[in-house]
Amino acid sequence: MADVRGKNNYKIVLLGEGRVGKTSLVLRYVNNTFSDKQQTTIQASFLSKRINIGENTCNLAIWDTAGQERFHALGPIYYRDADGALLVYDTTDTESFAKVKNWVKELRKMVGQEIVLCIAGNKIDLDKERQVEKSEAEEYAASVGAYHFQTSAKLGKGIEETFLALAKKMIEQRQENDSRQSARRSGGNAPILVVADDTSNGGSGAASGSKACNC
Amino acid sequence: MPRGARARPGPAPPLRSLQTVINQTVATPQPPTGKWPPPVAECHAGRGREHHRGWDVYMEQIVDRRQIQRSRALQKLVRSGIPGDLRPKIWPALIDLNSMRRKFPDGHYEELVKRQVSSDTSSIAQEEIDKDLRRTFPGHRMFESVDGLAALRRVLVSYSIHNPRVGYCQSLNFLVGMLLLYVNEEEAFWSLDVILRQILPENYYTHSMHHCLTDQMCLHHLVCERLPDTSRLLQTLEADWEVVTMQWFLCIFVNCLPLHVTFRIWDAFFYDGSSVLFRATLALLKIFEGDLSRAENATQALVILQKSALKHVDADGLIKVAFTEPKCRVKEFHLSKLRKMYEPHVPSVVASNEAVTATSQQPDHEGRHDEASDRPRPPIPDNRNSFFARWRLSSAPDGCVATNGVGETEGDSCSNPPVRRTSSDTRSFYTAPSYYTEVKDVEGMLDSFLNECYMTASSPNAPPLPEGVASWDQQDLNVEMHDGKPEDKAGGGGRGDVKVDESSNSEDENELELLRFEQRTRIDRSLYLQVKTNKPVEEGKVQKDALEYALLRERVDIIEDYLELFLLDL
Repeated sequence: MADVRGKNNYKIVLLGEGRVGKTSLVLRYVNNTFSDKQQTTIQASFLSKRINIGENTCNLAIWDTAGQERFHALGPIYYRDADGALLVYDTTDTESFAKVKNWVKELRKMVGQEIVLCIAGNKIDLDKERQVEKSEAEEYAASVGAYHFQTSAKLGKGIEETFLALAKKMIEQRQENDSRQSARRSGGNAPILVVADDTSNGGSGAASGSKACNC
Repeated sequence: MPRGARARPGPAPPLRSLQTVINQTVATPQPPTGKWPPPVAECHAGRGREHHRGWDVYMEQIVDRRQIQRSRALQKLVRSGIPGDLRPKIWPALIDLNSMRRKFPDGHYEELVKRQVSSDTSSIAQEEIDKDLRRTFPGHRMFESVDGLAALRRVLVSYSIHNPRVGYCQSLNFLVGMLLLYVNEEEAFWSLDVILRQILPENYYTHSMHHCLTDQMCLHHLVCERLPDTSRLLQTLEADWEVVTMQWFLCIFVNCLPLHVTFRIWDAFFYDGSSVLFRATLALLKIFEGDLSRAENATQALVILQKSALKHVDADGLIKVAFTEPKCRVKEFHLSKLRKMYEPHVPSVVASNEAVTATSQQPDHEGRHDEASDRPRPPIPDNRNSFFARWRLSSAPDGCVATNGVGETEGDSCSNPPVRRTSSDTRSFYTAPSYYTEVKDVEGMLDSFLNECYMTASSPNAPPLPEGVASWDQQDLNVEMHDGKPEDKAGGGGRGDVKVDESSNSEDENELELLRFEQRTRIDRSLYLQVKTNKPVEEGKVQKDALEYALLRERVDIIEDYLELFLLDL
């Protein structure tokens, strides 16, 4: 899935309910700006950022998406070929956290284990109104194999860390995939099915489905 | 005109004139906050008094009859930009707002507003609207004021009650915001209704977004067909450019282009209908061809597309390409054909979520299923690589297009299943012919008319000439002399090379195309002229019924459109 995108290009898709601060998060990360006068995102907008991790330079293509339920249906377009997903919720809104859980389920089902997941609880500057406890969110994130970070786009807190962790994991994941693929190549004409079996043993059943499509 | 007689003055707008708000912005310069507030001078596309003068006759029509007579001259004028100060009058007249308003009891909007004030419970739509209120043109003076926001909210909430199938969809906030810049609250409400129910296909903003996706497929088709280089380039990059263009369509370019350019598109949109979305998009893709070729990967291409559009300030240039470049030529009837072709093949957007969201209703689509699978597959250009094809493959492991394609078409799934309606139900509720529906109605008839014209003209059994007319050319001359309209003169005189030269000097491209069409098919030009000048069609002429039908509808331009389509098909 990844190799068609170019060696150091990684796609991150931001998903989450409306007005949790997806756009603000990206703008803080990419441009280091914050405005409380953010427009509604319709469909998706795209930003890119180049970062250095160790010796690697990688280009992050960040897809910021619309949050309304209606656009959720277009999810497959957004997360197609994504290496990582940043699922954002609003710490002052329990519903938005429930929405994150939905996204995790969908991503695991449709994309499988290949996609790196990271959950971000945004708006920690509004700590007084907090509704989602950090421990609860962390526990959930651990249970689905995702990172969890607390962020504030307004104060610029936790955002660098979030994207950095995501990027590192994506690089790792891709190297893993590459080595697996080269192992497959050295194994002669091993049928593709074998790989699909591997994946489905390790992860959910849907992974083999998406794998098969891709090949 | 019964319409004019029944016209009643609209209720007094509850808010102060929005024009004053705009004028205030002119008076006190604001610190720059992104795209908003817009440079107001630019918004007013007027070119001084000279430009105003052409509008006098139409303004009179509006005052007298509360409606505006469609004509090629008006179309030209609209495309060159409606002066900003006339838009509050011209926009509602162009879309014939009053006829939509009259379908509902007096004070319908006030009633809806009252209802939302009295009810304590807030619907899901209302919650969503409240989330977006402050995110609609933030920084614009009007939408920072309490009054402005309240108006925006009232229109959106009323609309969500008025049209529960749509409820509230993000991007409607921008449409209403845009409308409120020029028209009053009630007019904005009805304009939105006209846009959603008459100008655009019906399922644009509903939960399924079915027709919006259909349009993206149609656009894909057109891009492959008209701009093969760009299309190939984007395909090599595997860029799903439809993600960007879908935003353009949903927002009707609000926030996608600089504001003054958007206004120009809206002007044309109100006159020509949804084809303008396609024309403008094709024009933009054509303009950005060079920029796009510099993209190294998919995301870069999308960024370029999105950013260049936001920076594209040349409104005249865009309009010129959109309306004169043959590659951008898209007509409503052409679209309705394409839409019909692609509609059964729109990938199901809900299918992939069904397993995940337990609350999803199983859509009842047995009938549609059969209908769709019977139809031949449309010729999707570069099918394997197209955005929707790939999407389909990823959501349906068996890659079965036909069955997956009809998964969710009518039924707006999600938690509250609406009363199941077929498209005809909805249409019959709004029986008045819109430009869109009307084109659909006449389509079949005119199609066969043209085909027959072509067949008979090229066959040895051509219809006999009327008495006293030596040839069709002669007939032309007669009509011409009676009529003497300057715009018809280009087509007058004898047929032949001279005539073509004459009209190639004239600016009317349609006239020239018509001539070419004539030369190929030897169609009876007098028929065309008679229809155009609203003269009764004589007995014994080819397809009298079809022409009369069109006459009744006073939509001669549709015939012209069909002639053009025919040219395209040839």
